[in-house]
Amino acid sequence: MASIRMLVVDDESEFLEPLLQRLKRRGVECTGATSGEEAVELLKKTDYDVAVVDVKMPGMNGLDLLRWIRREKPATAVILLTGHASVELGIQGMELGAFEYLLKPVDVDELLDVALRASAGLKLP
Amino acid sequence: MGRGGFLKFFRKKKEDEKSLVVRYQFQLFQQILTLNDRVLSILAEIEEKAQGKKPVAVEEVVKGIREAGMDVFIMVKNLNIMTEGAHSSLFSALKKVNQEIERIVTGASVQADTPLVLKLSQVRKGDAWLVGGKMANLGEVQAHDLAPVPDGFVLTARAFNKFMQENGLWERALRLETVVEGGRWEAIESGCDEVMRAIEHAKLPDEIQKMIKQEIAISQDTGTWAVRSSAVGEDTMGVSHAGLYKTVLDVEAKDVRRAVLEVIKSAFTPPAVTYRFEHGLPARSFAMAVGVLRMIQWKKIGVLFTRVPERPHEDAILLEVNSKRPSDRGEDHWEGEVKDAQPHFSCCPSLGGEEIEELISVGRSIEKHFGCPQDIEWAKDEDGKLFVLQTRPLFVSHSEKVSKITPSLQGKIIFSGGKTASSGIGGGIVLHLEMGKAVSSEALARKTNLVLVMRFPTREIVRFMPCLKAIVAESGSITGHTAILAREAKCPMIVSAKGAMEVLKEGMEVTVDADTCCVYAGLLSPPQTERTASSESPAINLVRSLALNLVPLNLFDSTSKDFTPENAKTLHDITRYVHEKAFEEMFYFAERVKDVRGLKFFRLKANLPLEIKIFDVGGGIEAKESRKALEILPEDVVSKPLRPFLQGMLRVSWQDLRPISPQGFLSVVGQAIASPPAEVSLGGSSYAIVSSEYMNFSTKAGYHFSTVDSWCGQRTNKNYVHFRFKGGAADPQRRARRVVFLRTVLDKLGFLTSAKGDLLTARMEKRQEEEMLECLQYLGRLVMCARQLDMLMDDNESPHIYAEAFLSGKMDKL
Repeated sequence: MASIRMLVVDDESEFLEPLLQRLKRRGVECTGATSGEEAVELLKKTDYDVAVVDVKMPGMNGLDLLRWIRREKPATAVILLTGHASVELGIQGMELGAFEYLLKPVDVDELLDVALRASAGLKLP
Repeated sequence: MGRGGFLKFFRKKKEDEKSLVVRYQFQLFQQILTLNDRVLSILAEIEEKAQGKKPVAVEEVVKGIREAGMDVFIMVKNLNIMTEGAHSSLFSALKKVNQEIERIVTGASVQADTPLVLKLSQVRKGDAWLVGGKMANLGEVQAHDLAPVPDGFVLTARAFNKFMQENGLWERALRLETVVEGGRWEAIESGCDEVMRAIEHAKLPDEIQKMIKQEIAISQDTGTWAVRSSAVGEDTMGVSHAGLYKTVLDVEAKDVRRAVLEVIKSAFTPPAVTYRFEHGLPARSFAMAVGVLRMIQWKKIGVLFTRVPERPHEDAILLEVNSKRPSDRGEDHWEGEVKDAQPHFSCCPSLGGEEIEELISVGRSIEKHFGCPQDIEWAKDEDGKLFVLQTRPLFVSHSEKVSKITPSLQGKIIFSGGKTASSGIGGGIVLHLEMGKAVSSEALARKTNLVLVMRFPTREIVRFMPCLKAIVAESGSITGHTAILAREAKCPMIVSAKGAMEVLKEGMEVTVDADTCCVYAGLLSPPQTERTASSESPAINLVRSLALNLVPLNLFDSTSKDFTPENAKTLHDITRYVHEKAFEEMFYFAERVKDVRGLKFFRLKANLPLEIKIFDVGGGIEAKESRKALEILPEDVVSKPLRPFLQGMLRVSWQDLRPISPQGFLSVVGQAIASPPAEVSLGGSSYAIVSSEYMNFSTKAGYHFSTVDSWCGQRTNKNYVHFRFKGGAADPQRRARRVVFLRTVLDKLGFLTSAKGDLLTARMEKRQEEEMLECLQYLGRLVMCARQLDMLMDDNESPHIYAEAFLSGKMDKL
């Protein structure tokens, strides 16, 4: 569909792999990472338009990664994904500057819409 | 969020992206509307439950609240995405409310860092929340030397929690509450069965097993043990749980572990679960502590009521000596026939005068210490030493009246005999409750008033509580557990009514007067009082304190300066705020979108004096392959709000509008009225953004600006029309007159209106779809008619004349 560079970060490969596949099938240029640390390494080397980040991960979790991205790579929009609906975490994420906070399971087309919207950075007049 | 580096991408996808921005904005808004509707219905439900008219399943409420909390979060998040974070302080408001809710919810369960096991000698009355009422009372008796009690220890509520948690039993146990609320007999049976079976297969945590071994070893007792239930909330006034839970006697040291599981299991029988629900004890705060006490080698054993339940003001006791074990009072499903209690203490053949004196003295001192009448189980061992095995508040009648003065009923007495176990009068249809006989759900589902007739009193009665009006038992005693339960439930009950089963046949309509021990044919007055949930119900109190953080609305006036996130104290406030601000944000949606360059608008081809451009965010315009470019006809519009609105516009005879007086013309500088080419050339395009159920229609003609924002669909609570009209070319007086005209018409149509100078706002909300469609059609006509009317408003009478003309259809095409 669109040429957008996307980084997907999730420690569960059962979730990560199929999502990457579906995104690629839609023509999205995407890379996967299975930990916050791995994502940081990738982000240091490459620019991404959007990072889709799982909130709950061992080690550097989604919110830690979000903090890092806002500080080091502010041009990358962050979409948080979570399997556990938590108001507390959601608020934290949004206050830290996430573009969106979505609940799993997420529809790929919906995710793509959000990613495009996030990377567009357009405002209504 | 600046994305300067991706211009390449922009250029390529410009069209798509721009329309995505618009679509996305709409989706955020649409979700706010949907969630708002859902949150409000959850709040309404909780408000109703907090009124306490019925017992509530707290788990269900908590689940609903958490869902509502998440919904409100999404609303706040969406509003902030829509407005680029203009309302981000709402997040802190929500955080506060959410923390308070979580504090209340988790406060209801036992916290960590309390002991798993306590010696009875360490336990006092105030520990009931941890060791249960029964063991707390017993510890208190011992600590104050009121009477000797058996030595032992208690597995605390935390031990119970640990057991439930480590075996993954909580979820299933909590779900029972909802099952009971549903009230289906079989569902309750099988739900309880499932939990009980899971407990049978569960394992007592190692840590607790080790502690049990230690305690037993310390006691150096070679005798056997009594393993007793001591539920948290049990044995408190009015919530005795009498006989609902198990006591296992004569347990050898090696079998204590198994007996503990038996006792825990008994907490999940259908009567036990139903009883807790009916008394408003929330499932999540329930805990079964278990007392492990040394077995007394008793010779005599009995029950002592320090007052006679129906005559609490008299200096009398009820004393019962039993040849059977005390556990027979409630251990078995079906109570055995218990020897009649002796009113006063005159004749207890098996007790000597001194023994009776001793019991009275112990009873009175315990009663004095606890400050209320007591129900005491006692035993005397082979050496004649008296032990108190259990003491709990005795539920006594608080009415001042003596039972005998209840009015005698007029009617045919079909049965008389027995003893008053619980006073009062009640009538209904007879249902026989027999051991081993399945009760048809059908009988229960009818939810009619029931009179239970049985041979042996049974705790099964608690399962009929919601529709139970009276009980007649052929055997049993006033001190029996069933009688205690009946008194608590204020359900009239006769015991020892020999031959009642014969006479009172299933299906008969009868009225039971428990005070005179008579049963009458048919349903007689006085009318029975409705059973309600106890106002002191902890479950309802919990729901009430939760409701305080959810339901009250502090932000009601959106025009007030206090309408700020800082003043949002409840979920309702936050919801209201988001809803209102989302409307504000969307109000000029079309007006803003029209300036986004590169968007593809449909052009409406219709016989109207204005150009209408439409942007479809989803399902508002019928898709047609054959369509030439972006031109559409009115019939292509499928958007529910826009369709009738256009129909209304098309009905207006704009060519025939005539001034009331020639002067009217003069106030409009050089403009002929209703001249289509002139309007269009003035840049008078109208823009609409539509979806299948949404429309935002904005007209900015040379002289005025009007907007209609509307949702119209099947969900009545989601539906609304907001209308705003401002300006005009004529002098202020004439413009104000036009506002009067509009307001008169809109008021008549049922809108809530307000006006300030030449600005008019009108709202209509939560109307059914058909009504909405009609209103939108009127509004289409009105917007059309109002376009030039300011020029025609010559005097203060004209607005009313035109309003009249409009409403009677005189401005429509012939």
